[in-house]
Amino acid sequence: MHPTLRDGDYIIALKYFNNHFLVGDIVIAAHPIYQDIIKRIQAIDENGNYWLVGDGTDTLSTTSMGAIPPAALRGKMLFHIKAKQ
Amino acid sequence: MIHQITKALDSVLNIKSVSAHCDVPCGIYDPSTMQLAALTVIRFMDQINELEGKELTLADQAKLVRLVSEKEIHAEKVKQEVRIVWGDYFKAAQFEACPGTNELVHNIMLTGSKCKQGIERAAAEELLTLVNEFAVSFWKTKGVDTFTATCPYPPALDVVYPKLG
Repeated sequence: MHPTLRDGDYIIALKYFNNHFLVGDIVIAAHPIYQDIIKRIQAIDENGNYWLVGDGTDTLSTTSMGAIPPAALRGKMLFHIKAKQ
Repeated sequence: MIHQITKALDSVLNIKSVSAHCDVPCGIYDPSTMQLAALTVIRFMDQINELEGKELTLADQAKLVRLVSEKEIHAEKVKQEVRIVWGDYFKAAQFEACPGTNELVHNIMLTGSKCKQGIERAAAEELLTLVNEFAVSFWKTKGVDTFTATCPYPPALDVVYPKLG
């Protein structure tokens, strides 16, 4: 998620009861392969699944992460505490 | 300031970590690949040097070309395997546990290149020695003890192995 997020940063995330996640939100997702990951929502498909993308150039590809069902989204980033560089 | 406070809280509350996975880490690292490649370089140098003074037939010449080519490929492989462990696996904690790693890796790069360029066995033996040192450091970061034994195949030289199980 460079340059937005870096190793050692802290974030505060909140899960809304109605799963109100929007394109562009940075979210935490429980991925079956990559475990708990933090990515940005790139798109929401017609089935209501989320497609994620990283901000960095060497991120996992959207297709390798696959469609993320709403139940797998753990929360949306609300606040970001940057580590001292 | 806020980060420092949060970090202090983290040490008490153990805040959950998430990963951005900006690469695809498989987590599988093992110095055995670089050790085998270093042994292979020595073995090929031995076979190249056995051709010294011999009147080379066409078949010998074909063999020589293959030996030289493979010797250079395996020297490069040593460099590549070391670069992967050093670049992808070693982080601050590993560098702290094994000071001198950067210099060691640089020496491996230089010696690996020397093995590509020439056929001096001493250079290849030095490469194996350095790679063994790297293996000791690697296993140290894993909390695994090592021992040295002669590999049971040519070129029958000392290799560092992990004490597993």
